Amino acid sequence: MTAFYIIIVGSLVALNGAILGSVLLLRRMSMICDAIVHAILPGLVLAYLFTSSRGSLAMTFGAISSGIVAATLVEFTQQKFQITREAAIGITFTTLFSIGIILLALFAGQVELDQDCVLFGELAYVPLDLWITDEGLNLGPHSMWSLAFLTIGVITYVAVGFRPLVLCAFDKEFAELQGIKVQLWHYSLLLMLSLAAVTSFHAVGAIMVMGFFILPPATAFLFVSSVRSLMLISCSIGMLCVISGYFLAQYMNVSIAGCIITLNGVVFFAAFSNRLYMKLNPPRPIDKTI
Amino acid sequence: MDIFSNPVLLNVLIGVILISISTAAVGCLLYVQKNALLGETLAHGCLPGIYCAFIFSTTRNLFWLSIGAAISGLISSYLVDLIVAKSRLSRDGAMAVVLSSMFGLGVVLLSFIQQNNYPNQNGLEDLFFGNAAAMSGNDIKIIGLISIAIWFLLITNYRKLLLTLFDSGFAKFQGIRPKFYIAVISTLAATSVAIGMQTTGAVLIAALIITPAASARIWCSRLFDMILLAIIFAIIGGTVGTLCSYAAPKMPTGPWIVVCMAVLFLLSSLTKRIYLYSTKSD
Repeated sequence: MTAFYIIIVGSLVALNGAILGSVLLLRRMSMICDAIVHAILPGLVLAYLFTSSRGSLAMTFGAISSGIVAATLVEFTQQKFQITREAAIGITFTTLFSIGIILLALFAGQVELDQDCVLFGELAYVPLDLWITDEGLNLGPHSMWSLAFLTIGVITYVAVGFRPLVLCAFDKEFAELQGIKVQLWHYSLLLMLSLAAVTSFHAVGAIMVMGFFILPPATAFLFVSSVRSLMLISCSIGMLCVISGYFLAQYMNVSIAGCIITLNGVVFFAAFSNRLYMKLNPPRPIDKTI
Repeated sequence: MDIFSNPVLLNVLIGVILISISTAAVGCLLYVQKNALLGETLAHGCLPGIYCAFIFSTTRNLFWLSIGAAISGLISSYLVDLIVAKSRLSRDGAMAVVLSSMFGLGVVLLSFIQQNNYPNQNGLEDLFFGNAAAMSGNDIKIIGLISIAIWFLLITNYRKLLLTLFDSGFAKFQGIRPKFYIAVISTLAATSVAIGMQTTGAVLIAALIITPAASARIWCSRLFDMILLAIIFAIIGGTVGTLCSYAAPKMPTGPWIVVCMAVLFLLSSLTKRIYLYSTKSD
């Protein structure tokens, strides 16, 4: 049952990551994703300090608000202080993350958040946190349920917002002319991103989440020519990597999440070298004159 | 608080200043190249190299770890350039890909080290957040030597780097190979990140590269002035941050340095805005 739970939780994380990550990749927001997964830390710590519970609602709220604050700060710094976008992203997330660590160190006695847990997470602990009802019915790990709800939410969001999200990614002016609220969709995407990051971080750790968001869509992006196939292929790559990564990690006795991400990276570079090889040695065109 | 009577604090202070001077200078080059986030990619890209160096050398000698870090940092920056050149991925997509796969590899290697009970592995986890207090006199010597090498490369190639950054077409015309000097910039960046890992940690070294450069860019329009001003900002931020972290017990040094530098950035940009406003109303 342990393997089953871990694979289910991992696949759900991969599914969310692949769907949202495809949109982020098309909108060239990959490094914003990096910034937000770092920047949710102070929100988590503050939420914990105020409510002194690990209840997921307060944590989720804290994380979402600090994710949105981070994204707004990036825009603000870039526009008001006239520095490049990369620098604005870099300054914002490193500062927020440092504030998070300082808060953790200040209230080390009161906060049961572990730095390592926040950063790396551990998929192996997922089956230990079971949800057992009063009647003794075993419903599986907590994170499985929250991730399942998140997946439903993400799929609904992308299904409803498919056209505006894709249009904004390819042609912002045209989208505005069509009457699409570009800013609204931008911030709602950031909100979904923070939500997905905070729901997944218990299982895989805040920085690892980024691999789930970035790597499968990037691999799929090398091959596809439509947004739908980008999402479908990246979902399948992500889930296959979760399953094989789990068994590889068991075999080598190393961190499961790390192994999954490394495998994703290997798949990306394999696909990339294949594309490179195909570009250098293009297949001979079939002679149709015969 | 007397700084000079406390040898540990003095050590840490010298180390932090040496590191932040090199990262600030290299950060200016990266900022002008519009490539500031490369620091973040390098910081995560250095992790597998450090752990590999540890596995092979089984010591925590800063010199070997830095060499491993610099090599794997260089590989990551090369991979980013390769992906951007040869595929449809944008630059930030490529950076995110390299960053996250290198981080994953680093975590796998760390858990491998922990599983296999390597001797003197304590403190390897510190690389994520940095532990400046662990800096010894020997480490300072190594950091000093490597910073001298960085500065030597930077000063001797300054004009060529400048030309490459601002007008690579003209540089080529002048017989300078822009690709080679872009590689020199990546090497400088990877090396300075590698020696800085111990102080601020992988997660926050990006700030040491970006923040002083951005604060200086607000005031300067010449690269040389920008580098000088960035160094001043870095020294102030590094010193104040280190002292802050020592004022309270058990405080991590890296985050305090980052926060101090961010405050400096905020002050610098606010002053500039007030200055602009006051000159406009005249």
